[in-house]
Amino acid sequence: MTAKIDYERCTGCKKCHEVCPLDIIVWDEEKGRPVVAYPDECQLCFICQEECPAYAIKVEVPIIFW
Amino acid sequence: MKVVETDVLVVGAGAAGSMASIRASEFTKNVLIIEKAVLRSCGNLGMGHHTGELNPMTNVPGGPTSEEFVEGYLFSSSGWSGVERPMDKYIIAEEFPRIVRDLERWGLVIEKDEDGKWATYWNKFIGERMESGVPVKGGTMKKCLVSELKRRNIMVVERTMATDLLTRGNKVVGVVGMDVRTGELTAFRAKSVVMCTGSASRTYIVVPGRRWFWMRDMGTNSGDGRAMCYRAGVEMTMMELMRTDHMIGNTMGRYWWGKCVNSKGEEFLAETYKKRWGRLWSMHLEVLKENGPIYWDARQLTEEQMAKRNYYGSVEKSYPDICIPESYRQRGLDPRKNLAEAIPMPIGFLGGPDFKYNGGTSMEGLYAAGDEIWMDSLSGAFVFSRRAGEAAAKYALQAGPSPMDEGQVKGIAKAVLSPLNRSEGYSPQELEEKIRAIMTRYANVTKTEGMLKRGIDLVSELRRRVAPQLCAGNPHDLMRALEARNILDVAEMHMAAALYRTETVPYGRHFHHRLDYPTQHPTWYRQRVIIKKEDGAMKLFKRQTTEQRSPTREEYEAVKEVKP
Repeated sequence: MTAKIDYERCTGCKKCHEVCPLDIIVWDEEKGRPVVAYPDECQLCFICQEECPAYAIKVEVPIIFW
Repeated sequence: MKVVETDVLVVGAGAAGSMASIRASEFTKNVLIIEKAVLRSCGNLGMGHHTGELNPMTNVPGGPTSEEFVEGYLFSSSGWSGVERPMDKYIIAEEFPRIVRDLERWGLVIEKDEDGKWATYWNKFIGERMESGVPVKGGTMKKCLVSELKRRNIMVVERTMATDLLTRGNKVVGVVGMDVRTGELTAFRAKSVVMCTGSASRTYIVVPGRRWFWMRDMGTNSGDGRAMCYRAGVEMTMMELMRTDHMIGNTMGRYWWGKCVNSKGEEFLAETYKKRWGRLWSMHLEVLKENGPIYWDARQLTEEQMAKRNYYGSVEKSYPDICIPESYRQRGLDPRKNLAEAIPMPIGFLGGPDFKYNGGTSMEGLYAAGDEIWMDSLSGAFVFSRRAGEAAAKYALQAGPSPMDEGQVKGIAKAVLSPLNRSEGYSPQELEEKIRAIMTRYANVTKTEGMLKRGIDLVSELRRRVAPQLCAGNPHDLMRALEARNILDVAEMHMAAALYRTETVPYGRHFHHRLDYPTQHPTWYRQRVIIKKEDGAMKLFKRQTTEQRSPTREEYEAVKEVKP
């Protein structure tokens, strides 16, 4: 896993959905929350983690990148 | 199809695209950017390639003159390959410092001395090239460009991928854009177009597994601009020269701290500087000599040395990319205790559309800047995008109406959307993976005729059998399908040019290593490989570049004014 969203903390502000350059975080209209739909396409830029105002996203470096 | 009209259309909102549109907006209000990602986070600056310095700072008190800079460059590893166009570097030396002043005005934070002046530094000659620059807070670079674009009300159409150029004869009249979230197509009609789509980095497998977006450069950089230009018949050049850089472990990021040592703990860069080899070429040879892996060793450094940016000799600069510190933190590693492995890797190709001093390409009204062309530096991106923006705006102001060819628009729309209409076929990911596997195996940093020919065979089979059968379930996958199509074009160009250039160019970061032609050859001196698509077939030929000497002031004065 790369970008992980903590839904307890997520306020649904859409910021991560707006900033992800590879557009891997899609918006789930039904639940009103973001979903990391293409985790394989994460390039570890940490922009979502940096931009999230609720500190709800953590980007973990997968072992393949060690 | 929706039609949007503008004077100047800039494709890509990274460093070059931002600067080109800012400059163009000083001549015409009708400037529009289309960007595949979003303004805030696009381009190498957006992803956190926070360069710690801006160079060269030439023609400042104590610093090198333009002539000294170009001579130093030509003597160094990067410049003695014989394929340089020294005027490019002269123009950068003349015009970059004023751009740094602009950037500071727009919000870039530049480190200051105690007396409030820029903390400019210069090292007359450090072996690899003339160094002179200012330390900057890299994180403020993207922010200052974004705020300046907003201040000027320059419109950015985000999440819109350029798919093809619209042309009339040898003249560009616009670009087709695809909304990557809705799949909707828009025809952007423009009097001039500036291509700033960045490098063509998604061409090799860098780590195993389907981690295609992990590279040194921005993950969106699939060579869209190069492929679009090539398909439209624009002359491309230097596609055989590879850009390489070293990664820290498998973590995205470049420079590290400390001495560069091989597996025996020996420093080897000092010797290579004397031979005027580049750091990357030396690392590459060191691995071939079975002296790998290579490490950055920061264990001996004092705190003061760690803090000092430009301590040369054995200490390299630090580039505070986010990913390396994060990775080290998560793994509990400490750069002062653990060696950092530096893995030389292919990161793309130097070449792109052949361009003139105003950024103009072989197609009328079409300009290119940034990593799209052979600059491969932030200073080059800023200087030539500023020139390209100015030239494109001036061209647009004098250009007559440019009607689109409706038949061409329909043809492009049909081809672009076709993967959406198939319910079964090959996935874009499968195609991209296979192209990159072929490139990694048959056209990696060391090449031979046999391997390249086999690679070309395999890629043309993919073009024949797989590309027409791509299938995409949604607009996101359609974007990936169009990217895979572009990667295919770029891979073909690279292998064809690499096969054509029958010599080795041991050239800094941009080398071309043919094991069957292991040295530079006089017949190739000052020769560039040009690729052009004519009547559906790829044509290759040589073109001589300018003399390999520093230009004179008079020669610069003749090209100083940017003409359309």
